Amino acid sequence: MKKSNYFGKLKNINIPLTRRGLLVGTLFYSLFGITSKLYSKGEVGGPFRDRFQSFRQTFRVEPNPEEARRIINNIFKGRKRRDNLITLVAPDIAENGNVVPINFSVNCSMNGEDYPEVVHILVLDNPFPEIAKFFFSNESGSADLAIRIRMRQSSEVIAIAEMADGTVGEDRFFVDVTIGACS
Amino acid sequence: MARKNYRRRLKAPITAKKGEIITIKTMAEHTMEPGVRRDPETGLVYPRFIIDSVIVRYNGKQIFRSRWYSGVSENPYMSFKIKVEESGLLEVEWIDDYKQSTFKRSVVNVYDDEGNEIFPLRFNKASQLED
Repeated sequence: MKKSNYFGKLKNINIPLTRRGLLVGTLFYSLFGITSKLYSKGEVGGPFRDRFQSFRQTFRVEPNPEEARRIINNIFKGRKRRDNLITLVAPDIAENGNVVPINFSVNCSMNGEDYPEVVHILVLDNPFPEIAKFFFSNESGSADLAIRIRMRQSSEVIAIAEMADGTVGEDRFFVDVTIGACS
Repeated sequence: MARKNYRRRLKAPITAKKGEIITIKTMAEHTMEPGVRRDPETGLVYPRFIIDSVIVRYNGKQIFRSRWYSGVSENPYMSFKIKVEESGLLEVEWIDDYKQSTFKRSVVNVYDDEGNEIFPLRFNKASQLED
């Protein structure tokens, strides 16, 4: 087959109601569906999941609690919260806001659908409330993790677990920060 | 970008039993510039420069992944757990804002109760092939 022939065919696509037209249409619709799914999960960087996080920052941003609440609502999507799903441990008083060690553990057997797909860590009074997302799988033996974060002022740290079967759980911990980080 | 932004550390046990849950400690030496800090003299904002994502693979299969934003502290330390069924290669990959990736590897040897190592490849014996 000649290349020029092939491209010539591609040039004038006016999709009529034929077998080929239907095939092309279904292909495009399926692609659209995949991208929209990714957007809903926040993988690509959804419309307002992150405050300018997808762009390089060149100006100062002040914390906005309304925006933080909107992010949390966007994660929950009106689902009911399950009790005792996730436990978050953090220090009561953090002397240095630059390094605040936190750890969380999700009590679940990591078999079948009983594992957390995503665990979000949020600090409400930071200019960028979203701090990290962790994507687990069945192979990771237990959803038990420790990390160090930055906090600008004393506020609540929130950990939200989204399970694979669709249930959601959260835990909050108030941390007192004496010297804040400029994050 | 200074040389120190490329130093990575990975601590994992060398041996483990079958089905054991092992803890892995990772640390990346990185400035993690949040993109909010100003130069005190000129007032210019330092541009954001952070580690964006961390990917963990065991025997080439991705088992854990994380997305980080500017709220993670500098020289980010993270410890997590994985379950090992057979010995293999553990890879942790850190990817920058500028899509520069660095990685660190370590090998975990997994033994059963009798002390035999469980290899990730299972060779078929000749007798099995005949069936």
